[in-house]
Amino acid sequence: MTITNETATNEADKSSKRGQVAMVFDLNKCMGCQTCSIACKVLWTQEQGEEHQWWMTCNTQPGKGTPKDWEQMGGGIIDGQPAKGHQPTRAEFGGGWDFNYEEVFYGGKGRSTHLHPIDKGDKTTEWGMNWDEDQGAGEYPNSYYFYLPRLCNHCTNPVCVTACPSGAMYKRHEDGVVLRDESKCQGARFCMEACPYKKIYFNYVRDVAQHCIMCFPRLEENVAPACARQCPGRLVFVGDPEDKSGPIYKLVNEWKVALPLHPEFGTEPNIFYIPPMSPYSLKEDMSIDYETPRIPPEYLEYLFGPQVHSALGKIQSELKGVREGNSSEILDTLIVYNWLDLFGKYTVDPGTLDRSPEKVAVTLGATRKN
Amino acid sequence: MELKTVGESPLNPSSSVWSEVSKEVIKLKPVPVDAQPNQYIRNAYKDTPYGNVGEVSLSVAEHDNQVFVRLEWDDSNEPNIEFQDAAGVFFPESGSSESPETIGTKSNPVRLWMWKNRTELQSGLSNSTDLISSGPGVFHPVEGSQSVNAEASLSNGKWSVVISGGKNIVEGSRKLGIVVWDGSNNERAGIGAVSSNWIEI
Amino acid sequence: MVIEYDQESKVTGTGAANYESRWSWDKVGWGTHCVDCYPGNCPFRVYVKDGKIIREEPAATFATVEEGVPDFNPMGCNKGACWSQQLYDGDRLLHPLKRKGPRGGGEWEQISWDEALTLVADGMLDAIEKGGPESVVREGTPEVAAVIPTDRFFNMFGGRMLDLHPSFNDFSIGLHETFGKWNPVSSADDWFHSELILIWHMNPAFTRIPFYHFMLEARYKGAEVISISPDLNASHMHSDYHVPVKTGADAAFALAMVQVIIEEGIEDKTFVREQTDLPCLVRLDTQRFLRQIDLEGNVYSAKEDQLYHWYNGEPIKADKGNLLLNGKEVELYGEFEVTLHDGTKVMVAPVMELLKRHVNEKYTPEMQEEITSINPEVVRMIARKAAAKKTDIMLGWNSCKYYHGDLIERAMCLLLGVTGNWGKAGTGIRSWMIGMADGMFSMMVKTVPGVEGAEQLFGAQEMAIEALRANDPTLTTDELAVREVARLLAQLGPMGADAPRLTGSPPAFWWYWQGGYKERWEKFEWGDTSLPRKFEEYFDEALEKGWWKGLDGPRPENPPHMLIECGGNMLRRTRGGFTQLGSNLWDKLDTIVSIDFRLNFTGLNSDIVLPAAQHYEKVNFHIPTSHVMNLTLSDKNAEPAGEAKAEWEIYQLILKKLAERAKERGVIEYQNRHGATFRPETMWDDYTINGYIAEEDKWADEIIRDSVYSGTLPEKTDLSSLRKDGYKRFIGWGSSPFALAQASPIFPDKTHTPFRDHVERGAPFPTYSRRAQFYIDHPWWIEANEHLPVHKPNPLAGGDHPLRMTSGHNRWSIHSMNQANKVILQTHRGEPLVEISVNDADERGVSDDELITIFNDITSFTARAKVSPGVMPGQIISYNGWDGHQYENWEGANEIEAGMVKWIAFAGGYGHINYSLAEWQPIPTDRGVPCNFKKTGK
Ligand code: SF4
Ligand code: SF4
Repeated sequence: MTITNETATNEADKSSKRGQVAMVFDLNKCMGCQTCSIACKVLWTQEQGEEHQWWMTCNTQPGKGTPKDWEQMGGGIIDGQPAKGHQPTRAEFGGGWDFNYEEVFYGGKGRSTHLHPIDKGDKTTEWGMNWDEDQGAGEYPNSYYFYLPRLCNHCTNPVCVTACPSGAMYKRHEDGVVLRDESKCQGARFCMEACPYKKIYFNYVRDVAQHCIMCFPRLEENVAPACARQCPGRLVFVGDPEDKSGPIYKLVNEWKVALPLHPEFGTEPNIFYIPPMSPYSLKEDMSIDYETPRIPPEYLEYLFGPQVHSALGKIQSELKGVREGNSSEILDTLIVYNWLDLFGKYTVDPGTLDRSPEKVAVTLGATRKN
Repeated sequence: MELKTVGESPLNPSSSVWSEVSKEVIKLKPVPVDAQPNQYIRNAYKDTPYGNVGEVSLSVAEHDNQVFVRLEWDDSNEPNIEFQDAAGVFFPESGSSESPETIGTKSNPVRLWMWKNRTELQSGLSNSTDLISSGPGVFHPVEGSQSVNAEASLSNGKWSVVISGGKNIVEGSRKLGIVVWDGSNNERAGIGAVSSNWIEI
Repeated sequence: MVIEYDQESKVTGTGAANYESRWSWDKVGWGTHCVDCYPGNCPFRVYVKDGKIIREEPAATFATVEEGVPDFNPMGCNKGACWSQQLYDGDRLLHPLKRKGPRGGGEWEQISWDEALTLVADGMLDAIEKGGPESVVREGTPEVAAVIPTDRFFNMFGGRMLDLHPSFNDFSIGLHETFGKWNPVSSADDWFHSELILIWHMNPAFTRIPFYHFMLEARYKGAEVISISPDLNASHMHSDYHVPVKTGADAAFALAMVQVIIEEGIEDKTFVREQTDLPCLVRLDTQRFLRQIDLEGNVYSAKEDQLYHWYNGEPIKADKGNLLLNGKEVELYGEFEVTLHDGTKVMVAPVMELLKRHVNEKYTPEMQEEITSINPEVVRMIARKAAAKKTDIMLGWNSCKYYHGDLIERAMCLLLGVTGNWGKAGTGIRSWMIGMADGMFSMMVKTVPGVEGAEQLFGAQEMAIEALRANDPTLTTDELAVREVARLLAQLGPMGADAPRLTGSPPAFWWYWQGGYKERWEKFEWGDTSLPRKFEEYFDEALEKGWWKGLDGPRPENPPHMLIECGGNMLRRTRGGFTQLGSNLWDKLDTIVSIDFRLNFTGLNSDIVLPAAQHYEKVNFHIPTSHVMNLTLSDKNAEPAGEAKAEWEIYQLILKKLAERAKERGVIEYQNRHGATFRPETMWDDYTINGYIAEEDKWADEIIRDSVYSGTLPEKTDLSSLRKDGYKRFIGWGSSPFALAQASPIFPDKTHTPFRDHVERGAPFPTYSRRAQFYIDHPWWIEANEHLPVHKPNPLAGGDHPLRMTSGHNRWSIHSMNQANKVILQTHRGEPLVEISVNDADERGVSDDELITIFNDITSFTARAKVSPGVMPGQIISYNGWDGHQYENWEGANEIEAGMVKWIAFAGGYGHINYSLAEWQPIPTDRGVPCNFKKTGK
């Protein structure tokens, strides 16, 4: 069947093939620092109604993540059909707290009060974007966890777009970025229900939904998205997944070591992950157990599908190879000797751009027809 | 129903003017699931009960070239922080013979005046919008329009809402449909209760 | 499946216009985070719109240093990415404040700068009248734009400066005991050359965010990564092995590896012979080194510190001036007979022989298992790897905060020593270092402008070095000579110049006499109970022997009257917290001034608060370090918010006001205890060198130029060239002992590996033995049985309780700096928490996020429980950095820390076991705190 946006209001000229921008996150380098999340937060979601919005997040796995228990919320495209999903609530996202700075610093209350998130009775202080940080699972000393950075997958089958009744959502033809025309958004939030990754937020002040815009203003200037460019782990590849000479094509299609998250959700994400290795586990007598992986393979399969075993196996055998003195193109790619090699064509240094508000306004007027 | 001209603006739902105007009880039904605008909503809501508000009491009045529609219905549900109660009246283009239950269609859009209960956070937003609707939830704002207004009050488990707009919109077909969304049941867009027949005025 | 929902290119609606304009600015400048973020040095671009700083982003303009090694880009971290968000938010200080009501009552009166300056000046004059200028004290921060103005200011009026190092407690004491220096620091990219990385007492995923990738990239190149830590901290996951050594048992683990290496004969014998004291002979009768005076008697030519090797059947002198043996295979094992000058025959053995016996007797892998819980085969496996591979111990400043942390670190160094693992790319162990920007040091004391002033200061050091060398030709390297100078100067005052005018001291004595720690440190059962003597006996002996002459104040009869805390947060940081300092110190002080850009816990408990410019609002530098090898600029990108001012300006204003008030009060001049005279009237002139460096830009420029003069930065580097590039790579070490400690050339196109000079050129170490010293025959060490590294259990400082509280820097904040940043607070639970194990939680019926009370004999504090499967049963982790006022009743985790110091640190009179600034001295400890917890309210 063909799933379309039945209510789209503005069709593109589709004579050219649709472009796509994709990302690969190497989970074996992610340290869960949240720089990506914060880089995004500071750039995009600082206005009213955006306090709790973290278009980019990094969570400890296994865990409930953000919104709380998102993996159990349904949505996606199952058996070719958009599937019912739950709209994550404000409380399930949590966060967006205000703090009682005034009261503590200047309220004259001394030790009878202390700095804390203000409880507004809406349960938003009971969860947050990274609430279960570093908890993980397993039994000591064989407990385990790892980090999973997540953003909108800018899916090839964006079921959020399908679900939008007001024709506000669309996938950009030139780079596949999934966007929402906020002037058309009626706040109906079917996108939030349908998105199986639960990466759409609601602005309770402006009555519109919002989500990762893949830093499209930056992409247009050939600057890599903020999360990727600011990641101190140097682990986020950005680029055209069809460029056969680029690292994304190689990692995803040629070497098949980068996989989408929850492929069974059916939306064909464009964000891929190198699955995580973990330290050897320990036996009862604290000797090394080389046989039992610390992270249960079933759990990895749950996250990344059955391909995960061969992908992980490949990374591990390459690692074994380099330890025996061989060289590895895959691992050399993941080392990223030159940082700019992460970003395909998006290598412009934003500090060199002229983006004065006046100039940006003029450019907008000239090239966009709002 | 008679569109009675009144002596002062009856935008306030408790305005004494409304006592002079007759009321009619209108039955509402859930918007048909098959009419929902996309496969997602059709799939997701086929087994989900919605359209909680079964009837509204309707009055209409006219003042100074404005039409005022007053709706009143029972709502004793706990408010929901996610979705707000809302209501709308809509007007077909003249000559359209389609049923109101889809709130317009692609080929026969309707003009929808919508009231949304606003939360404290949304104090900066208008509680009313002027929309073109070409199907359940397929709403597009009429650019630049400021002609729709609304006032509402909730007391004793009863919403009283007055929505007003320009008389010119009504004049063509002289009939209207009603849609009501129960926020506590996550109703919005095409997920709501609608009058199954046009009400002539 | 076909999907069709594309829309026309770039038609992005009003939402898009909104986002387009969010990413716009009208000015870009340089910024970094110059507080105690170490090693930091991340060059950021700071974006300004409408005169306000809106955001920042790493510049990421680094060129590759060494071909085949990943570049440094982009650097940055979570804190850095939202530094700007604190500029105009909740804890930002905008106006001068004066306390109303009691201290810490949270009631303030907003006052004018003039009123504030008058209060400060009068406070100073009152204190000076009452107790001399030394009764005005600063603790502080290493932030460049705070500490330099502060110290220069204290130099002007004669206040007391406490040596900062122990206050923040990052002194790697065991490294110092071994190498005579605590600060070997490779550049972060050097990690890429490692073949075996032991992450040990460090959590780089939290604390080395900009650099951690080098370890993982090394792994992709074939290195193995082993994480050694009781809990599964965030750095465990990218390791090949996690080795959960029990809390504080690391010395046993390391010594067992050494046992394996010696037993299997896989030690690096050439390296051991040249680099270490292991071939030095020890008399079996006295357990002391065989010395020249033993062999030749107490004659003038016989040196007390001349040690011996055994070679060709006789003792030969261990060369003090060069370590290279050129193939000479001095003995490592065996027992030999020597005849002393009086004809007595005694048996001697190389330290290595004693070490072998020691580890065979106490630390076989099987024996260590009981102490550490680690399987013996794991010990053997890692030992063999270490012997075969270029091994790097990634050490943080966790071990040094254990009471017996020196033993842990000595054992780690020993593992590297026997396996030949320093001085080669990808090897070594690290602490932290400062230096290179020598202009920062000269700026604290400079009195003459420009090159002439630099010549005067650096020239004086040159002369001192020459004089020392004439006396001792074995001071063959600059490092040795400069350290010698530093040790001599330390006896005179902390800055080493113009001694009678300056008063500085290691804070141990301040805490002991003025902070009430005497009582704690003398609690025998809270310290090392295996000692034959009590703490007070060692303390008294140290003072009697004159090891701390001139440094042991302020004595009880000289109480402090005023505290100026600039950039620091003493109440949050001090082990023991308010419980300890409140009645003992705080209540004694007449005036407490806090100068900071944010209202921190110390500020909250102060009398007068002066708002300082934040790092993006003033000209500033990051603390330079060989981790990064750059001088990094943070510029003034916008006017300071509110009425805030840069410290450099604040102190000038105070000095002017001081002159004015002194005149009004009839104080023309005053003296300190050394009789030096101070005249308030001329202080501003002296502070600014008659106005020459009064301007912020001029001050910063002068620092850079002096650093060029000392040879650390390329010719022509100045403020304007730095403004262009944001940072500049150092080309030389200059003249500070901390930098010269690297003992390695700087190559423009190679990673930096410290200790190359020791290994490649045989440069001696600045230790007593001139070698990496594993045998310390100072009588105190022998008495304590610590002459060789041993494992000793963590003392029960705080009482006998079943759990051990460990700590470390958290992920979210640099100390307390970012802990109230609203953006950062959202990335965790926004409130203080402690991590507890599943077992301990279950036993006490505690579930996740419940409030628990953690207690010991000292006191208790309350925090949220985070029940984490990765925490070792018996362990509680309280990452530090939470500010006091984030806890209920303002009682934080530091309240239950005893802050014990190990008695041994009061020792002196033995080569490198002698105080000099930021070096050897007592440091309070705070790891492995005995405690327990219960549900709050139960
Ligand atoms: S910034 Fe990079 S390393 Fe840090 S959490 Fe994000 S993806 Fe992971
Ligand atoms: S806080 Fe330190 S590590 Fe983080 S970005 Fe700033 S300088 Fe770098």
